Amino acid sequence: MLYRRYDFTTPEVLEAIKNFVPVAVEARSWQGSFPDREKYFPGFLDRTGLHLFEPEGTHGINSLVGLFGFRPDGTLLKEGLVNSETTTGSSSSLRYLNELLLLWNEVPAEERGFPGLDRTFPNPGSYWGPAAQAPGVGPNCDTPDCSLSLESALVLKSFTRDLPRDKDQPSEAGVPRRKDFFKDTSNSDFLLVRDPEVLVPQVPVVGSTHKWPEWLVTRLVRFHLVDNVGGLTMAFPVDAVREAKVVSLVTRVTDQAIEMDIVGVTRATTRSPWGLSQSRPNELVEVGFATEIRGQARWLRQEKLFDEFRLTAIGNRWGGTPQNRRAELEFLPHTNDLSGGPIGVHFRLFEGAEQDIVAPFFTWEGRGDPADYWSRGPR
Amino acid sequence: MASIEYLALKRSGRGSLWVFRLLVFVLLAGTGCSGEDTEASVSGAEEHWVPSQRVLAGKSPTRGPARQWTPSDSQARELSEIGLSLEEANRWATFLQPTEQESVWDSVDWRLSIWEAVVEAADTGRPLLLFSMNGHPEGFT
Repeated sequence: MLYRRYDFTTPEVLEAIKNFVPVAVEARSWQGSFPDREKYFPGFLDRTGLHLFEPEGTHGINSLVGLFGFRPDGTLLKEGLVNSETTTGSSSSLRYLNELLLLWNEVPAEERGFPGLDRTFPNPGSYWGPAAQAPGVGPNCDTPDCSLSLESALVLKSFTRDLPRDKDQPSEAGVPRRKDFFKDTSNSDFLLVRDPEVLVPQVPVVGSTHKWPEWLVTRLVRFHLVDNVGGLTMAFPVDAVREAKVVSLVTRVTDQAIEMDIVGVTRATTRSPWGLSQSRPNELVEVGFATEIRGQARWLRQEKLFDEFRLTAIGNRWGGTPQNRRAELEFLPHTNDLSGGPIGVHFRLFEGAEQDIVAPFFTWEGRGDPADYWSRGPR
Repeated sequence: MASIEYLALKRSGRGSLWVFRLLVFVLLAGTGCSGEDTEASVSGAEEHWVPSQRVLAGKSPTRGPARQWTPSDSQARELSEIGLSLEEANRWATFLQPTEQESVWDSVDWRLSIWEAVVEAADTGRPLLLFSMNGHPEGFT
């Protein structure tokens, strides 16, 4: 994604960040939490002043994006560096960080803490917490997805990128396709399966195939094989799924482990109900994503978990959604990349700490319907 | 009954080449929401998709990434004609994952909880740096 690539790529920026306690938040959820004053330490939100921020323009509740520096008690050090095409860049970030540090150095030592900090104040938890409870599914949810525990879950991190193309094709609208804009851009997401044994045959026989559950393949196709290379995008509606077939092929069985190859084909296509952008809401185009999947996995029979899992989906995408910049005539650089191109998505085991796991994007409030995402019902 | 031959390719990193020839029944019973298996000696009632030999063998008239096409349902190329092999998939896996420079972002120890960051900042006497992004900066943005 653009801003990760541009803003934090120099040693100088990294060195400057060491002087701070850095925290990353999802803009919509953060802004949306301002009315819930009880989630913040008493007085903290007031001192930031950000709860008084009036969303402007078309971005509304997503307006507070960028970098913000605070004292520990919430006092804003300086107006935030809000991301835009004109401010994005490591030089802008470094300049802003240095300005924050100068202002911080002027703060008297006795004002650098958080007087009266109540450490017994309830910790509302990380952004994993709310999504882990799968809001919208309901208190009577009886599938493993309702569980808060990740202890035995399969947690995958995905990486999506355009594949190399030969050359830029001129577009009919006279706007270059700007394949270079997407060239070094990628995006990530998390996919998790709380009961990964559904991917493993109960009676493993070398050479046998085990069909993945339809609900899981549908979730993969609708929510994870999507074009987010240039930014946010939309999930496919359920009736967009034209092909969704994935199997595990058992290749080796021992007392300790079951090794499998993974093979699949997917295709989703829909007449976009979303328009192309906020300025082009009535332009409906066909949006699609078609892939072939190969991968490998190893299931430990005693531990009941995967210690190896990698899956790669290679194929084509076409069309555009309002914020994924495939047809961008509002913000620079302008692009027109609707006719499609090769794309790939790779999933690998996430081996970081549990607190570093971010819930899948389309479970987030305002980004998707969690009940839809976690659904295991028939299509 | 129908059968396919499954031709296994050399497994990278294993140092050995092995080939299987077996019969796989494509018809089997499908049940509920759980995964479904085929076994060499089981026949069933519902059709179970098994990758074509062309897909498994990675054979394709065109190598490398699929060419662009003008999309429509009737014009979309059958993916089985492309044929992604395991070796190709592994090569693309390397390409798709972030480079060392792109991973610089992850070298920052981003906290995901404002509460915890506030407490740490107060304890260590450091200012807070908050990065807010459409989508989550540690995930999908």
